[in-house]
Amino acid sequence: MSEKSVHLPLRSKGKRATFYKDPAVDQLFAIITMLTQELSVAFDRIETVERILDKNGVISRADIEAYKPDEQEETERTQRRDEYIGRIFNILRQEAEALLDS
Amino acid sequence: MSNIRNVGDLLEHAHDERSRQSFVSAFRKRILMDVADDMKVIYDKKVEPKFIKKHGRKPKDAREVRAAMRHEPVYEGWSAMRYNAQIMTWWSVQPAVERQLNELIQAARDATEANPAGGSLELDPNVVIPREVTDLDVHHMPGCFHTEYVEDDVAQGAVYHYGTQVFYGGFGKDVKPKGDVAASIANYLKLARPDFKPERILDLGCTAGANTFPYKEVYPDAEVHGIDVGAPMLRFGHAWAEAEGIPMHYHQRNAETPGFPDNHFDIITSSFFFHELSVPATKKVLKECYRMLKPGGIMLHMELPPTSHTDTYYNFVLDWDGFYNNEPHYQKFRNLDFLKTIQGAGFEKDKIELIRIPNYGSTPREEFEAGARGEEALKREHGLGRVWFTFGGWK
Ligand SMILES: C[S@@+](CC[C@H](N)C(=O)[O-])C[C@H]1O[C@@H](n2cnc3c(N)ncnc32)[C@H](O)[C@@H]1O
Repeated sequence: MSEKSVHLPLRSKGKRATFYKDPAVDQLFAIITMLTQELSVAFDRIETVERILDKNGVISRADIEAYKPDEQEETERTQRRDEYIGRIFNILRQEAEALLDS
Repeated sequence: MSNIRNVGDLLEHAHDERSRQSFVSAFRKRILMDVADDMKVIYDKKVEPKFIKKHGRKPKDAREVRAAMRHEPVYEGWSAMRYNAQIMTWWSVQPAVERQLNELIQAARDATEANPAGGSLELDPNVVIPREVTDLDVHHMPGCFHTEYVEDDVAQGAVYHYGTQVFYGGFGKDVKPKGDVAASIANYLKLARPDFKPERILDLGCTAGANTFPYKEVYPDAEVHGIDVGAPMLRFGHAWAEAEGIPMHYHQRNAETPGFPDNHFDIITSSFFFHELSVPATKKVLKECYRMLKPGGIMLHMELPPTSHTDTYYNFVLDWDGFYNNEPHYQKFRNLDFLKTIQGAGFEKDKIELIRIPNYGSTPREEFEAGARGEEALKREHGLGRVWFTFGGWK
């Protein structure tokens, strides 16, 4: 069995379309769409947490205010944020990636 | 049935991945329904009247509509949304496929080894993969239908299969992963020709087989074959069919040189296939269909409706994919003279079929049956999967 890990490419082969006079607007559009998606994901996640806490009767808002992640957890959060930013701003990197590929 | 894992539903998505997928589904629905409606309003109330004032007539074709709409903010926004949603569809499933690729591959190997349904998989590493597939990533799916990253790879099959569910996810219960198009064509044929008993059926460009399965369900006595050039699609499709207990016979072959004997199949079909081929390839494949078809058999392909069958505005909407979805042959295909093209492949003029088949899953049964008896119901309008345009003929 092959245990090689595979990275699927994010950029599709072919010219990227633009719809606005200034292609920068197309890039901003992509970024904003991704941001909207991530915000929607965050809402979903918060809602999941709230509902579970609510169901189990464990939530206290003061606990949330006072909460501080420990070092390990902070490392995880940093990594998550880093990946998050990478996903949203991916578009800005694609032109260079395409040039490197060709 | 054995207890092999089903590649078709084993993928586990993390909470946030599911959430990203739900977002894309919802986003697409909004674009294709609400924003598309807004765009039509703006066209009817503003853009077309302006055009008429200037030219003294309505736009004569989709090109003129597009030129008039090109810089309308609603068109730019709709396009940018659609384009991003298309790309984000694949992105939303890729991480889960990456993470569980080894499991998927193992499940596919197990399915092939146990082969509980008795189907088959024939791969040909020397198959000629056409430029239509290698030049551009069709539908912006990175890696397209054919790329293989590791041995026995099924990654692209999984991205396609799970991505398609996200793609149609906003449209609710009517859209099932197991092929609405094929279910519509097969049920239509069965009702329209109750005496027709196909023994062998072929689906061209079957991808992972979503629209190949239903033929076996409607015609359980027939042997059902599918061909495609993409090995990861076929491996995935075969494993999926075996796990579902449906014997399918998949072959990695190019439809331009499919190699089956003359007079071999009773039904030759395809769905969403021809618009991805160049016009010369289309003509070649149609000739092959005629050759492989038994006398008394039928060729019936589902496709986008020809330009001449839909109104100018709808042509403009449909042609969007031709410009922006990496489908460069789309418009030339839609502009073909279908009668002439089908005749050119060998079919007799009075045996040609150009039929609008209502979607089986979402059409009231009575209406569907009336349609199959040749009554008015086939006049349903194109759009949003309510009716499928099919073309072909009897041999
Ligand atoms: C849009 S997909 C078809 C979708 C599929 N029928 C379904 O309903 O799920 C087009 C397929 O045609 C295949 N294809 C393209 N050119 C081909 C050729 N010359 N011979 C065989 N398959 C081809 C591609 O690999 C791809 O899987």
